Amino acid sequence: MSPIVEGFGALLDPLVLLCIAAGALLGMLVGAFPGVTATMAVALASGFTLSLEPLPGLAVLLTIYVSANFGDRVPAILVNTPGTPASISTTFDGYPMARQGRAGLALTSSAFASAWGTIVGVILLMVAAIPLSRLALNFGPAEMFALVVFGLTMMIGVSGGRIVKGLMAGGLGLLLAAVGRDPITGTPRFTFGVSELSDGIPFIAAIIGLFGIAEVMNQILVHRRGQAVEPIKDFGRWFPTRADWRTMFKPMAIGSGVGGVVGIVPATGGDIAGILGWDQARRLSKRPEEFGKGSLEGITAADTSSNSTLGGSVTTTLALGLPGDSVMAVMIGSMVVWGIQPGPSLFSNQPDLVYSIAGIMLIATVVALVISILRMRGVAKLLELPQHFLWAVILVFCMVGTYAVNNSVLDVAVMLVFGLLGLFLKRFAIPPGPVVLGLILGGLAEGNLRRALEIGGVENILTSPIALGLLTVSGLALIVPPLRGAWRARRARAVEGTTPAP
Amino acid sequence: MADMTTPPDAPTTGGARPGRRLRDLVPAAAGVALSVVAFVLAAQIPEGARLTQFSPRWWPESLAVLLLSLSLVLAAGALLRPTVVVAEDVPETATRQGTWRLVAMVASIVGYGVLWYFVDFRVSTAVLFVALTWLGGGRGWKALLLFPVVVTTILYLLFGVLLRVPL
Repeated sequence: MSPIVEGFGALLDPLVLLCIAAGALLGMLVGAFPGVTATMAVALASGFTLSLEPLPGLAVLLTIYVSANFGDRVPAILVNTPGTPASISTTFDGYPMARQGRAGLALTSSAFASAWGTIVGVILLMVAAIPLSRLALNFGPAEMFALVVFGLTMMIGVSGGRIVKGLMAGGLGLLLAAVGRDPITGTPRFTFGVSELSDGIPFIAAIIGLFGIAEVMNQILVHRRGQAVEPIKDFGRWFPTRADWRTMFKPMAIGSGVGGVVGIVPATGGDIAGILGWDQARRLSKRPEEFGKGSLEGITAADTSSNSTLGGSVTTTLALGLPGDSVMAVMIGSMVVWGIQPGPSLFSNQPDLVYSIAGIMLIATVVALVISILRMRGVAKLLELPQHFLWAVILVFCMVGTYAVNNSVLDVAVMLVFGLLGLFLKRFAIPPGPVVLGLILGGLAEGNLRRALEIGGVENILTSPIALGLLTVSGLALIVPPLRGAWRARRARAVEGTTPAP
Repeated sequence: MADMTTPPDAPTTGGARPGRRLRDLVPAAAGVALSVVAFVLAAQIPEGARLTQFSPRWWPESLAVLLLSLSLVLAAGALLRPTVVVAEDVPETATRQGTWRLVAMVASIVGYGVLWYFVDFRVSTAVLFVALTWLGGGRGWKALLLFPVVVTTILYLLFGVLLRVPL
């Protein structure tokens, strides 16, 4: 049977469809709560989906991933607070639109743009995943090591002016990944005689701690009474007119292009793509002065671009084994537990899986769009829920969910330790993403580097054009941003120096 | 006795909101300490039969050296560079009440771990929900009675009954 028919056919199972419905509701809810990110929700859901079969489990996680990228637009538009980082750019024009009495139009046009963006990303997944994985099948240890370095540095390179801290976080993740057995000789390392640590640090517990517990702890730490912003109540007209659709067409095209490209780059997600897409649309717009002041073009470009990354992120994750973004980094943990090892050989062994995943994402998009259009007003009501209920639910669900993975109290303790570690990272502006990436990729990096060096020494890496190319791009990703920042600062100082005092 | 003149949600003072320099120096010091510990622990890893060119110590020792170097670079940057405040690097200020609330919540979670050993999951979890909600500021029967019972029931049905996790 053709892998396309087989892949899409597997989705006819009623349990999978039920899981998609549950995931869509959950994703919309978590997206709508500021502070509960898609990464955190997927990490939380990992706890109770591991007892499911792989496909229904993937259906829950992928649908949360897709629909959280719809739900997060609600607080971004109504209270100027991104529900998840992917909707940062939604606030640029969404909130000004809401303040102008156009909240309804902002919410629906954002939902249509998000749906369009996700569909473009899924098409990219179906077209690019298998060829990319076939290309990566030719990679030896030197190329795989370079690919891992590339993935790590991409995440660090985009962490603003915190490159040294990002590198430290990546180093910490790699060091934590060294806990367990040596990948070549099997010698135990840093296990302190605890047999559960032989397989390494429990990954799900670590990510729930880093993303779920740490975020809640930080919210508790900084919470002030009366801090919440009163949401907008006047929604105005909901559906775009024909003229609105004509306005939205160009930014949708720009956003899809930008998001598709950004999504393919490992470790870069919807937050970056949204901002880049919004900026690109502004540059190419006939009315750039309206951007940031309630422009329909602006919100459309931002949301299309942000959601177009989803397909690209899944492609990179499944075809190369490198997490496309932080949600995918979390999802890899669950996949490995289910026996699905993301990487170049995945699609050679299970080509139908790419179509099942694409199908899940397409159905999830349609369901999330329908919920968005029909129940936006209801989702907006959620913003009025007191925060203490949310904290209690997240903390207890995190604990019980983590315990449920292996029925292990040690996992819960690890989760709490990583929660405190995550809080430390947050308070000292150290990005947690590279820690997770290091934790996932540590074994792969060490194993491949050692194999490459055993086979032919450093020349083995330096004589491979692919490895050399990837390492060069990685180096540039670390060097260029600070150099560019220094150059801009110098230019700004020079301009200040030449401007005559008033 | 607590200072009653200070509003409970007022930002903490006395260096609780560290400057850029301190926000770099503290992680740098933590990085140095961690790399030294990692290096010492790595030295205790058995070498084995040396079947391969690289011993099991090589990778963790290399990472410890990398972490140490980066920590020193961060510390040097903090001490030598002019202090420039980057908006995204400045975390939201912690409140005094938030700090106490967090400590109390973590203590409740640890207490829950102990309680769970002796008391049924449903009872201990409902008690934890009451404690967390009260510490979070929830008051009244809906917050302290209805909410814990409903959420504990959902949790038990999901994990204990549906997913058959031995709770």
